[in-house]
Amino acid sequence: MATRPNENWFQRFAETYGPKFRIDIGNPQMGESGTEVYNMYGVTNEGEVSLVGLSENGMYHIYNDQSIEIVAGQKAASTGVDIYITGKNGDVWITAEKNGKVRIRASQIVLDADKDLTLNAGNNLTINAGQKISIKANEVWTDGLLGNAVPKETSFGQRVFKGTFVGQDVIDKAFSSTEPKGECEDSDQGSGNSSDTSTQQKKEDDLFSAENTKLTGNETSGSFATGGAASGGALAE
Amino acid sequence: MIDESLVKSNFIGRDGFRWWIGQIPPLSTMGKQTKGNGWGNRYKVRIMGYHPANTVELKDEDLPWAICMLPTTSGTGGAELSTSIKLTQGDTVFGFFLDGDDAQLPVIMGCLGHTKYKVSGEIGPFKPFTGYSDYIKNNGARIVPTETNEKTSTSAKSPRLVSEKKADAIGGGPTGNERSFYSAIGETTQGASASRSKILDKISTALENFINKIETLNRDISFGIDGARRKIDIEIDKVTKSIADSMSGMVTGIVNTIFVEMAPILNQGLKLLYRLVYNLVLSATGNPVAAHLAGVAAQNAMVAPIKFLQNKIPTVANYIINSIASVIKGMLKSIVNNIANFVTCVADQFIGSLVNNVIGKMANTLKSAIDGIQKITQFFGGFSIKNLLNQNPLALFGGKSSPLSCGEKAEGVDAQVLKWVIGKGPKNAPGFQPEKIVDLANNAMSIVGTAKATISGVQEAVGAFDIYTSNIKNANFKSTLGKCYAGPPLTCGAPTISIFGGDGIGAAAVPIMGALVNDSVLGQTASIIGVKILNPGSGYTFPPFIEVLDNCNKGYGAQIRATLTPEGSIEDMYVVSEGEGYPVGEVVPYVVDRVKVIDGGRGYKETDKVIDNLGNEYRPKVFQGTIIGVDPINRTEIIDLPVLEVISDTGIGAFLKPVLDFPTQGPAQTQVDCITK
Repeated sequence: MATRPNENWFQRFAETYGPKFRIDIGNPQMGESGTEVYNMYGVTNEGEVSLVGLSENGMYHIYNDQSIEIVAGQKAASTGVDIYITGKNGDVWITAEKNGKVRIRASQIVLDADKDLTLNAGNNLTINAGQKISIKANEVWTDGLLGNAVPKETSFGQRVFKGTFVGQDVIDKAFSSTEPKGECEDSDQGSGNSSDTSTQQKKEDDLFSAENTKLTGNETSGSFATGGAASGGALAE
Repeated sequence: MIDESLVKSNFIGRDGFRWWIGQIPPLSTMGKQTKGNGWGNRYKVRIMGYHPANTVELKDEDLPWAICMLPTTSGTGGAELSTSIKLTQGDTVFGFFLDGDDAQLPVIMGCLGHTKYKVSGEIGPFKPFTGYSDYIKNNGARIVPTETNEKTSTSAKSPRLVSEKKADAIGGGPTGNERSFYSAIGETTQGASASRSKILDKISTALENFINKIETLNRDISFGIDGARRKIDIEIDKVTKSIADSMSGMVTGIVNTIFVEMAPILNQGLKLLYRLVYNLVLSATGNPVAAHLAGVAAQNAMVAPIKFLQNKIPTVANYIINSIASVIKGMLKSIVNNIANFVTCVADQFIGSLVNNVIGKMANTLKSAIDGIQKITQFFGGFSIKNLLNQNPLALFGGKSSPLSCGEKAEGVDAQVLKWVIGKGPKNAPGFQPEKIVDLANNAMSIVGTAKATISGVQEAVGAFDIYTSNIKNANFKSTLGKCYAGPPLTCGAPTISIFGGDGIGAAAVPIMGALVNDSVLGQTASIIGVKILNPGSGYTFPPFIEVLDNCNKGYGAQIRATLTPEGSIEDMYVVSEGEGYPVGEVVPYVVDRVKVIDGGRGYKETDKVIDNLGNEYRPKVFQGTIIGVDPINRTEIIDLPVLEVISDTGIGAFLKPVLDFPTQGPAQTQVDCITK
């Protein structure tokens, strides 16, 4: 074992209480954060561990294999502060990994950012309010491809048909901002297993193929349907 | 004799005092006393010179009870003041008899500690044997059984604050004498980021943790440790969920970007369709009005197919998100035996695979819809989902960011530290190049004969990536994708210094190695005893984070801090912890170039002395009782980290750190063969 030649074991004091708990002070063996100032270490019958300790780089560790309970304020004044966590200089990180969620519940929740507040969601961001949602800023922007909050001119259909001879009323009707019916069913099913989604997908594809064939037939017969309020005249560029 | 015995009271201290030394027999012989319903602090004792050294003549059960004498600091239990006795079977104890020569009422006064020369063996009278029993068990998984109590590195051995993988390496394997305090030590966590561009980092972090975990479990399998294979399956399930969740942003970003990119193309296609139909009808009929109406009708006929396509937007994203987990699981299973060491190209290839699969899924899901608008895509020969992504690789980061206002900074609120290694601290995250990933994905799909490369359980192709073959563990292997070697590191160079954060740029430094250790397994290793600043950088508003990088991941524990000049450059770097186990080829001597005063303390005098443990002397500069500077008097060459001490009758609180430098030239950057050493 390639440990340092100058380890000072004389300053190490261990209080061991069998294999389940120990207090280890001044242990000179090197860890990732330097040597150890002290550690209190416990092990359950299942081999799950708990550690609190301080390393020589000043980092204080609290590790636990199962849950950590921090409960305070059972007898405190209801207007006081029960739990106070402060980072004096740097960030405060809260991370739930793997299957975890970060849950915050209170009768009122205040997120007070001196500068910026960013909400990122890989999939859905849902904001529900029973009474009112207020958004106030010097600039308010929305962007997207679908939905009734998307500016009319930026929705996918509107972008595709912008500047064509297809009448605006036809475009508005076809690409209305109301929630699409039918199509959402398959996305809902998609939350189940993928084979359900595939089945639904095939049904929809078959349906469309038939519709498309009909359109193609009309076109080949030369009896094109005219656009509702298409403005004639100038050729499209 | 009879007369003498008659006049003796045999009461302690009255007419004689009898010491004894003996041993506590197995706890199983003590009946109710060890089952929680005995009384007092009592142990049976087999006393040397009084009791035979066998259990035939005198059974353990028939030995006398000895009561334990407690120190005054233990408390008696009165007013709930108490400390538990820590004696167990096999312990050598000594004491005295309360009843003198009657020798029936022994008192245990103390014990003799076990040493490393204790021989653990058969349980029997006056033989050294283990203190573990049915009452106290230890399978060694968390605490190495040492059963000694002395001031040595092996006594009462505690786990170490390193990863399980590193503990195994230090101790010589999972059955060695090193344990990790906590199984999550060494794992990297990704903090929340205001920037969506960190999606790929999240995937890479999850993959890196997974591969590190698998390395340890694969080693457990090689040691025949039960349940290791099952643990690999559990890890695959865990990381699958983690990566699948991170993928949501990437998938929705790709879908969004592709539709955004598609819109102007389709718009142009509609206009070209009108022109085509107009020209055809005009040439056939000579009637411009009929030609125009035909062109308009052709555009109108595209409303339904475009609507159909538009309605696919949420469908395709949800379909991919919901089905990506099985893909990831298949990919992880395919690489689990191939990757022996995490390198960034593994993450590049893994993400490239995901990109190919997502694109494949999109193409399949949108096929009918894209076929339906063929009349307007016919004008664009290379129209495909893949090409749309190629035009905007930033889609991998979750799409374009929100527009910035005039004068707004793009950096937003992102943190200085985005990755954290548990047990160690901040980790630099250089980030990904989306163009490189997209190129890699395209190349992997274009390899002749392997364009449909698939992996078990995954429907759509992922591409012919090296990570799916065991060749990636071959140091000489190089595919058309380039060289990506994921086997054990071949050469271990001296550690390097990564400087990040602090708002500044440009700082560079190299470590100064010392405190050499020659190890039969690991070869020559060293600690980091100083840092040579090559470039102080500029623009720092607070001291940057300093990470010690060891390409073989053998060293651990080096912790370095920086101080800044008022102008925002790095003034000094000093070693908080020198670490150990870092590979090194040759160590050249250094000198203490100067001394960094971390805390000047108070009450010092100009006549006070500063010395170090290596024999060097220093001259302190004191102002109003505070040390404001320290100059080395003699610049003796050293290869160990000096610890400075102020000799003062009056001063307190000074904390000094040496800053080392090379006496003549820079360090030798020797490479060490990690395979043979």
